[in-house]
Amino acid sequence: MTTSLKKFRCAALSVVKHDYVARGMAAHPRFELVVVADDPGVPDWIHQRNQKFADEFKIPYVRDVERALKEFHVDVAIVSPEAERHVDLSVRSAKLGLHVVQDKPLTPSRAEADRLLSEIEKSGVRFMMWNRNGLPAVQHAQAEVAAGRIGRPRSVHIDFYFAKDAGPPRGARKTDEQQCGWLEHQIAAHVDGSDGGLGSKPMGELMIEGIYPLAYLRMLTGAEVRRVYAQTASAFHQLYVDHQVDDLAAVSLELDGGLTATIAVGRIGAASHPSGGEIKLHLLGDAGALVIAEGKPDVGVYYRGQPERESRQRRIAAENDFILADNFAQAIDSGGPTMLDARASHAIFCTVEAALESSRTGKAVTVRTF
Amino acid sequence: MTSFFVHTADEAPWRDAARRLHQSRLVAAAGEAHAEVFDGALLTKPPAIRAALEAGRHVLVAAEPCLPRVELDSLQRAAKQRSLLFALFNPDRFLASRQLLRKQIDGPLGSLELLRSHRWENHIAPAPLGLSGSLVGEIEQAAWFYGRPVRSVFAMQPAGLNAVQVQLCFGPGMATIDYCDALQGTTLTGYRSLSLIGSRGSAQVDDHTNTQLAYVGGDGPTGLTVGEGVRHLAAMLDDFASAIAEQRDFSSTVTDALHTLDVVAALQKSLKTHEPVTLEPAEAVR
Repeated sequence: MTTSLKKFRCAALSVVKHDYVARGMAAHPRFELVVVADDPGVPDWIHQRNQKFADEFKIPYVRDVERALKEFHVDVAIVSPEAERHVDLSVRSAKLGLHVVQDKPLTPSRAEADRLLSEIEKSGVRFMMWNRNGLPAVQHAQAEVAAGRIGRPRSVHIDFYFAKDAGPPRGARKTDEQQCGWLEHQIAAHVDGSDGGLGSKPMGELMIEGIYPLAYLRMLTGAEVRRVYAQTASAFHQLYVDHQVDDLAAVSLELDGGLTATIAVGRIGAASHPSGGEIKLHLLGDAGALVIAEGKPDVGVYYRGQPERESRQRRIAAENDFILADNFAQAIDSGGPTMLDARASHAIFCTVEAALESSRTGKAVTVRTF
Repeated sequence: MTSFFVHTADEAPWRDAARRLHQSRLVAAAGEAHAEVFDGALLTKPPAIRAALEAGRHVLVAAEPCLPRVELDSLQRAAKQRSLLFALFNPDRFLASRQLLRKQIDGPLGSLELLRSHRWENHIAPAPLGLSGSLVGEIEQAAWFYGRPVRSVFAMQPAGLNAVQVQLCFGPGMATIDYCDALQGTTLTGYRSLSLIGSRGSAQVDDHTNTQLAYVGGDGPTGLTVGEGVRHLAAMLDDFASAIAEQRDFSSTVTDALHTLDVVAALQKSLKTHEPVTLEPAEAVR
């Protein structure tokens, strides 16, 4: 019975980006939110968001991270600030012996990625980067692969397109118009949850969303990426053109054991798909193949006067939150690995880093691991 | 009325396609024809094409580029000397799905930014250039969608599988092609999927969504892929017949084929070196 198992006390450390991480964890019966905390010197808009979330959950908001973690006897830190503060909050939590669930991306900085891996492994706490590996279609794919239905996976392709806008389209800004600041846009984009790139340093979609297909690839093959060739473009949004970051990328990956993979990642504009974007997995094995639509199962809903941005295909059976939280609880109980632990998250960071270098140089790049 | 003689290993689809033609027809002997059609790479032999041209007949090769550069140049020269048309068409260009997709580019979809194709064959395709003809066809098609030449190629071959993953750079624009010969574990059909990501929207044609289900026997549903029939063959013959009537210049199809040969050579080099290979600037694809 779950009632006999320990319930983990959680702190939401900065709920300024994706509050779905904290909500997802809190929805699991083994986790309860007891406090929201952040550093005192962060800007007012961050305090306001934190306070709003705390009020909704009827828990305190404390403007002192270490004090909150100690006074509220916290077991798990749920970290979702601006991307450049991810590692700092995660490492400070780990040093106090807390387990950490962190939003993606891991960090925009190589030094920070290395620091996170080092400190998490030194502390011995459990770490998970939030991901989508628990979606039913992805779980189904994993079950088929694990059952040997396609033999040994040899070659994989993953499409990961988010049909979302990020401000005006490419070419919309007149030459005499001032460009929109990256952080300014991300703060405004919070209203519809499309602020995955929240932070002061501009990040492309490969950095922001690349974790998802790369985490699928890792779960389905268990293989490490060794070499990367990539192309990127700022194809859709003026914001990405102005800040010289990618909103579209094609990446070729050479993995251990002679396995190969390609991924296509993009924030391709809201008009590009009626239900959020085409996300698809193609796997070739030595005994068969799989074609998996990540959004299935779904229900089609269409009606007169339907809002333009409302998904026509609504995902169902979506237990990603539960599966991730459940996996994390089991990892804490057993001391075992999580679905996307620090080493795996770091490896994904290194792959993205190599891909961005490849797109700059036009050369294939060896992934530089820790 | 243009009359065609078709060199083919399978007459049925051509006969079916011919029933849709208004201004042209198929004939039973080359001697009765205005033009000869060579269906597929295996039947496309330079001496036979040369003989057709020498006999004063226009020639349409209905296959992915499958002749060496020197032969293509020579045959094109021979056709020009006799004021005959010599065209090399990938029949896939005439599939209704591909025609519809191409019409969206630089229109509703805006500029083409990324093309992604999967082609998994259930048999080992002929490889006259040392690379599966079906893969060559996918490369040719990608360049046709972009309407400009490939600038660089990166290709990978997984261990233990007759497959290739290709990334093409069109600068601007990119393509990924996922190709597999002899798809394992399947019986009747292969699998094809093509998606175009444009600056204003996206479009897909996909066997995944165009598959019907049959519930027979006790082992779950069987997918029945819905094909596009033979209309593309009729459209191709129609286009060629009108080109003959209008004395239209079809040399660009050979130019496209020559460019595809360059890409194939670059791809083979990339497979060998595991590095991206840059191509010399070439003329635009038609």
